[in-house]
Amino acid sequence: MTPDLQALATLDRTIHEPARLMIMTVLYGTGEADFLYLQRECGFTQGNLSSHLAKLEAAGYVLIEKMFKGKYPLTVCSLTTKGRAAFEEYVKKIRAVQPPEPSSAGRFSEAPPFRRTLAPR
Amino acid sequence: MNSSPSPVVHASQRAWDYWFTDGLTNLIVGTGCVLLSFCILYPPHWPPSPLRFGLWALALFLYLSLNLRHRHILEWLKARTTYPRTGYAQPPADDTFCLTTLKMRPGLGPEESELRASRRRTNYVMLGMIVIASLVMIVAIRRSWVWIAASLIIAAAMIVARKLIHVSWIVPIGFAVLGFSMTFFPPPRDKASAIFLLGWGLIFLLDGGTTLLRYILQNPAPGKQAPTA
Repeated sequence: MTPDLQALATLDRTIHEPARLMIMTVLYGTGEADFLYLQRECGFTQGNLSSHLAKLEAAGYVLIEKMFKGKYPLTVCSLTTKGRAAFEEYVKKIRAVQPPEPSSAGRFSEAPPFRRTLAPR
Repeated sequence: MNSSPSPVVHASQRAWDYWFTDGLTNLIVGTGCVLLSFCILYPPHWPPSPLRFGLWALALFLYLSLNLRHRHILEWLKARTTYPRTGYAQPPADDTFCLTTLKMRPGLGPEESELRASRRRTNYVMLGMIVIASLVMIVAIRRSWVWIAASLIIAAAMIVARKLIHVSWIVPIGFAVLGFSMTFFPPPRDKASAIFLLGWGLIFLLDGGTTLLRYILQNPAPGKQAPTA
């Protein structure tokens, strides 16, 4: 196996799972968000989001805190320093496998599916 | 380079928009304008009547409180209306001109976020300059048509910056109507500016009120069970 391909094998599996990648992306962009906001943004059920958050928390990527805003209890999630670093590292590795632009290499007539996953819309 | 925003930038943009989704910010702006116009319209005379002075002082106190503590007031209101319905996301930075607090690292689209923040800053400054120029025009030119001209300029600026400052069509239309009303039903000259400000406040109150109403209807209050992880 070439070193380039070997680098792909070291992708962080905790983040690589699509649902957890969505959560990490939202938290990276938002800063901090509560359970309900994450649920609405990602379109998960309560149980689904809970289990993914628990895995991210166990990996030390997400910090989950209970706090009050007025009388309303919030379950606020945010990325830890380790989580931010892991996310950035993950994105860097994924970017490394990005193929050249179609104009510079005629072989790639259309972007492969994983590129669309990285940049939807 | 890919022209569409990265999901990270998109998420931060959505969090920024989320702050304005309930119309409470416009309600605060509107209330501030109404309170200030009240203070200008009904200043205390000598000898002061206790009731009039009390009302004036109360309005001034509320206006100053609203200006100095608007962030806390907004958070307090949101904790009772927005967060229980659609959740909490970190509010934008306190400094309006520093809209993106994210520290984007290489590889995550720093140029995109910087470009957006810079574009927002430019638009805010341009909008502010247009509004100030219109207000100067009102003070400097003592003609009845100046109200229409100033209002139409502000309305046009609001249309252009509608998405930036999160206002509905009520605001530009309201400004146009206000300008025509001030021209065809001219108020006393010494009170005209305060009445214009009052109209401004009422427009923002109407806009914020309708946005809040729509938001509440679309997102009914949940049961007493709070979401837990």
